[in-house]
Amino acid sequence: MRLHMQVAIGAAAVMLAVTGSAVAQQSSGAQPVLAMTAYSVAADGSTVASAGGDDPVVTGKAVTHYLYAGKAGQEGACTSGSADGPVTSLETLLTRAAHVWKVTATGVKYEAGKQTFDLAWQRYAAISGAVPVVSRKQRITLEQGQTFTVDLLHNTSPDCRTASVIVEIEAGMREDPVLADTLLYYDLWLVRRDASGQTETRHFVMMAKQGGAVPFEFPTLRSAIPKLQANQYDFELLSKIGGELRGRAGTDGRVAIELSTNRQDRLARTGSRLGVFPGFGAGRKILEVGWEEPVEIQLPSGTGYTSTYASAADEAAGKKSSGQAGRVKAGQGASGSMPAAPVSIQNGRLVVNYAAFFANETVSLILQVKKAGEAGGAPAVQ
Amino acid sequence: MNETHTAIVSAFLDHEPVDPDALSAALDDPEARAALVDFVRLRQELGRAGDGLPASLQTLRRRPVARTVALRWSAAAALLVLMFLAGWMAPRPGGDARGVTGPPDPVRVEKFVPGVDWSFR
Repeated sequence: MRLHMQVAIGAAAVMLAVTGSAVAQQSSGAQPVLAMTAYSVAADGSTVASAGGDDPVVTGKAVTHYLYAGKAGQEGACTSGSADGPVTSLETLLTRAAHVWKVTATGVKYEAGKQTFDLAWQRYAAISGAVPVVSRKQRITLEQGQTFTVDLLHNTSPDCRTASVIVEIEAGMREDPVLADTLLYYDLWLVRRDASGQTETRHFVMMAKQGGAVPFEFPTLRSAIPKLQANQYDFELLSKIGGELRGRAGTDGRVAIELSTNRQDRLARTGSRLGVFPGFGAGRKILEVGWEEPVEIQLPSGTGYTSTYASAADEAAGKKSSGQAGRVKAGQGASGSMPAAPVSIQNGRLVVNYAAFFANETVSLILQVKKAGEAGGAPAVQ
Repeated sequence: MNETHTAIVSAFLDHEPVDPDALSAALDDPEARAALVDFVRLRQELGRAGDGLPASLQTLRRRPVARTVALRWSAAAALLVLMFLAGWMAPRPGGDARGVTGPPDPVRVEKFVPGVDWSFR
């Protein structure tokens, strides 16, 4: 066993390959991994040091790694590190470190871009020996890039910048070296079609390396709200659509796409400043497409209804709430039931029934992936 | 000068079929008659000079006339009309009134399904 006790170490990770090559990313040769890291974090949020290890495993096989903090016989947890290579014994570590984490991960499955694994961990202290201070067993599912906090230990020593030591596990992916430098060019359109065939289109262009995530957010779609009473405010229904794309080229000429999308609908007075959209829908889909093969992905509209005061008079008529439009689930509105009409006024409030309002339109994403720098694709990238 | 009358006279001299009524009308046009005389003189000149010319040049019958120009303009106009109609009727990408370039036609359609791969928060 090789023991590192250092204050400023570069990032290190316990990399656990959850499965072998028989995963969803077969043709891309990418290998899902888990990274376990102990971070020494300062009070300003910056990372003072981090440490971990690197060790692939396969489904059904448990791999154990040790992380530690502080020095045995000293107060606090100013230092952190990892024990990489074959660990001979927990007892040996406890003679050197004040706190030791034994972390075991067993791969369960890799499905739809998500890694599922059984996590079993214990934290030991030098002063209490081989009896764990804290322990836990959990089944965890993470997407690539997602992090799960395993444990947090506050540093009690004033002799260093470290405020706490955080042990995290993060899902990652190792790319096939042959394909790792592939550049993917994404053409993404947002298309809204109404019943008459009229379309409204937004276009977004992105580019990323193999396996790289690229966020997108389209300019807001706006829908007019009819005037149902003379003194009604001018309203519009806003729809914000965004998300994230991640693609991997395969050796078979296909491209595996992970598409995360969210849609936020909000009723607002025309021209008003917008804050946070209240509720939203979100989805995640795994696609496989050919180069330059356009695929359409239809998005659902919202459910339930939203309402706000219809006019200044209604707002002033003893209704003391903010009048902020908000997404309300079916049956929870002021009237206690959802009006069937797309837009109606009930008790001085303008009510929009999402399902009825969007019944005659479809909103879709159309995605086309090109290999950057090749004929028919995007301009070559240096 | 009426270019149609001139063209009819020219065609007649070239032994091409012409409508007799159109030829009669053309010959009523003084400018067309003048052109006819010019064509005859030109042929005589070419006939005298043609003895020393190679056979390929002896087929030269007359200078380019307005008829050719008129036909060229007609053809160009017809071509422009055809191009306009083709552009008008051809399927175009689904761009919208804002001028955003439309997407290509998708080869397949997928759907996010609430409760399956879509949730509301």
